[in-house]
Amino acid sequence: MSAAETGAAFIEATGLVKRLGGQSVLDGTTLSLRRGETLAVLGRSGEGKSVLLKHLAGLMMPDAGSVRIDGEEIVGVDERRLGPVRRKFGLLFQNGALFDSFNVEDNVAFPLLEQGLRDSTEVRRRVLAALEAVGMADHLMKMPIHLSGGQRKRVALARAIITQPRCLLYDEPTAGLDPIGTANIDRLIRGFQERYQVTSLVITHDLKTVERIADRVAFLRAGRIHFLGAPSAFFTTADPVLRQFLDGRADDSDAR
Amino acid sequence: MVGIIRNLGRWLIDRLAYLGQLAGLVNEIRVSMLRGKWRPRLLGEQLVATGFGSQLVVIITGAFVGAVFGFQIYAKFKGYALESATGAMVSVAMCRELGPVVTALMVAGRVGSSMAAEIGTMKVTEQIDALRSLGIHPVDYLVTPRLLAMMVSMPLLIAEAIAFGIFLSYVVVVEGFGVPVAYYRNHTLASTNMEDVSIGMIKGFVFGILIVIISCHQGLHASNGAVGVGRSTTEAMVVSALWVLIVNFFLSLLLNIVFPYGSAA
Repeated sequence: MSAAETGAAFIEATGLVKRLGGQSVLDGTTLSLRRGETLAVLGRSGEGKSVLLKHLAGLMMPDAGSVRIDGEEIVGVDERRLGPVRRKFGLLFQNGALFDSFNVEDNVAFPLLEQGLRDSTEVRRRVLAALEAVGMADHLMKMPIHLSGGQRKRVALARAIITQPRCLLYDEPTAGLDPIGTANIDRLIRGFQERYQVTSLVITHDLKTVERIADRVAFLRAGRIHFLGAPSAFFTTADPVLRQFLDGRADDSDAR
Repeated sequence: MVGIIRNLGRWLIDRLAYLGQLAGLVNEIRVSMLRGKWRPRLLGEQLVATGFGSQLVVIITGAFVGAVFGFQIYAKFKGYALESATGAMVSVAMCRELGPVVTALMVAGRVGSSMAAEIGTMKVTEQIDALRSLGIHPVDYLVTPRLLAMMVSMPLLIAEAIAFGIFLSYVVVVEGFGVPVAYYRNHTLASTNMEDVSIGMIKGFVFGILIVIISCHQGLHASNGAVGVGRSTTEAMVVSALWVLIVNFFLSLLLNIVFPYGSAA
């Protein structure tokens, strides 16, 4: 019986420890992603949010701790055995990570072809549907190098959703976008969640994005989850660390 | 003194770690070949890129190495009235040493560095993580097709280099310096046998594997953005070339035991 069926978290990370380059990045991080929710993970730059996301996706392995995806432990599992687990979710990378030798259509079709779908009419239909969902259906033949940052992210989003995964992980989906581009991506994320009840985890710095899409908020600090709760509690908190982040105040040492 | 020992120890650990990573990659390739998904389209693309695309550079290199070697041998042999034996020297040297080595060095420069740059760029732009997130093993997708293509291409490229080297040497010595064609041809054919050709092909096969493993490893371990990719690309070429030269020496010793001179003459 899957975790979803038992009501357990879709992704459950416990006591993650990771040191990179002699520095502690994750120091006992514990976090769970409930089925159907959108969890926003915030934190200052360099606090290890992307590292945490890569651990949750099984792209990095912790020095200690456990990650269970849909009830299945993935820490210590051979890379080749992780394929079926990874196909349960879609991952949107910070810069899109589109394959730069493929055009837009081939990038989006790639997951389907790799899963063995050979009916070219069906592949094309699903590629067009995914690209229409992100407003990029007119750019089929373009190469990634000819797309703007926002367009690349939307194509990457189409690639992430084309296999209709049960969970979507977003690494700073709105970083570097103008406010309208940000609002468009936020609407897409919320739309996927409402339409398909996809479980989502969004790494972001953008407080407006949190307001628009998050069901819960986690704040990462010094390798641990400093805050976990509802957005309303997050935005009204009196915690000095969170208040500084929310108010955008410079560090005392920086201010001097 | 302590500093020297520490640096030496660090260097040794780095080298051992490097060899460990290469061994890990070789094992992944083995698993990939036995259990990985077969991707004929990628293999075809790599055959075109590595084999077909390298032909011109390999032909020119082989031809001019053969030509200059032929000229030098002719100039030396002429003093002993042995100029008609030039073809025999050129042919055996091209088959056993010059053809495989110069081809491997050119392919390391052209194909090896390109593999490291392409895979390295994919690494630093998270495209390899994107592959992994889709449940695709990077070795299956990026390394195995390149290795298979190189295993097929290298012996053929070496055969081309040898053939054009012998041909241009013939043009220089026979057409240019007037050595009688019958003597030249007879000496060449009498001294060159299948064992000489086999040595060239076997070396090509081994060098091809070396170049792909070293170059792909460099790409897969690239880091630090464009600077890191640049470093990986250079390292791929330099390390491949060094390994080709070192392995060639030991391979020559070994293959000369298996196929001794004059064994089938």
